[in-house]
Amino acid sequence: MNRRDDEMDDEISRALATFRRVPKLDDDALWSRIDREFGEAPPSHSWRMLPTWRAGVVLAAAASLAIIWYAVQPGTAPAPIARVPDDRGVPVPAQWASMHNSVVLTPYSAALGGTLQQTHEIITRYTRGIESRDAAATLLPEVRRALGAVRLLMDAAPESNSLQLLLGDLELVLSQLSFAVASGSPIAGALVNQAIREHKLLERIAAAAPVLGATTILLRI
Amino acid sequence: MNPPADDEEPGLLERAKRGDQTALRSLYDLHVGRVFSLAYRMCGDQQLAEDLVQETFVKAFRRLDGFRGDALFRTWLHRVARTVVLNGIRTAGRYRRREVPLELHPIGTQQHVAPAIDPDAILQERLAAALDTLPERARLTLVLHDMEGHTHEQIATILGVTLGTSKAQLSRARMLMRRQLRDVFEARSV
Repeated sequence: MNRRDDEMDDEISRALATFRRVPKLDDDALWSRIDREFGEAPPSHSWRMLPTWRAGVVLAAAASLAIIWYAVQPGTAPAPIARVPDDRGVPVPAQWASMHNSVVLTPYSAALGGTLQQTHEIITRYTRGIESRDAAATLLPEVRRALGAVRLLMDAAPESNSLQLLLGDLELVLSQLSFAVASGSPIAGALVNQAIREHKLLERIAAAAPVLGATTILLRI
Repeated sequence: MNPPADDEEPGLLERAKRGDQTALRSLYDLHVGRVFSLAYRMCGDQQLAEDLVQETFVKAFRRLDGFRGDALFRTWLHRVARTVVLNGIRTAGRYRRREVPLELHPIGTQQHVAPAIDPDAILQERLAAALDTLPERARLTLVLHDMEGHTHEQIATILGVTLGTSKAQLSRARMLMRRQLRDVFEARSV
């Protein structure tokens, strides 16, 4: 950043300070809308009205019954996971491949596992070096898909601080990665590599999903 | 609007959790200004901003039982607002892109910009266009920092990111804004 950039930042900040002056809000009218919509909320389920300890007892009893039921079932071999070749011909579970091409209602943990796996692969490939324009052209759409998936996961993230921190860092690095790959800028590339190292992204993804590459992902978050 | 003192909220929240209408209204009165300001500055459309404020408060009130007081209520509410605003803008953006292609008007091209137009109006227009093209997290960070006056510590809490990530997002937002607006400021300084 040079002096001219600093000056521009100051000018932009000054312009932003007077930009989009917030108009007067009709508080009462808006409150009426909120009150009406909130009043139409469906009544809470009865189990949600239970005190915490009673809800705990009910859940523990349900879990015990489920374990007993599972234990007395005759053993069956686990169903094989369907694997299909991805864009590069590498077999991946069908569920992950389908996530690229269509809107699939996937449970959050499965979507998270798939995205972490994909992001881990992308970052690993990037840190090993992009030797050609073709390699960059192949990587870019994958980076953008992963970025979109990470943003969706961020918006639906449960209240887990470690998960939100990880997704926030992934979002930032994937954004930078997208710019670096598209522009081919060595400075941008150096910044991305630095961010990957400083945020320990590969290690944190591996810690969150320790069985990367296996057919099942066990999430620790 | 001044943020409420921390010790104003516990009693109010307990009453609001029990469904006390007066307490819910008080919470709304305390925080609606900041939520509306954030929504409006992010989207620049009063009607959409009001819709987003409505959705934010309805969602927050429905989830009030889940608020355990680990963070300040206003921080928690900002987190709800963040998700609602980003989703709302994304949805509105999809509709807008289908209807009208967004065209930037480069400064100095006379066929696009009439000479009588006020330079400040052009700046406002270009600022809006530049802001709208920022990645959403970077835009949110810039709005919270430069327009709403939050510190990086507050932004990190609201967005659920590290302090370093907040600083990096702001730096990225500024770099992209400079790139988009360089011609405007160079033309103004001539």
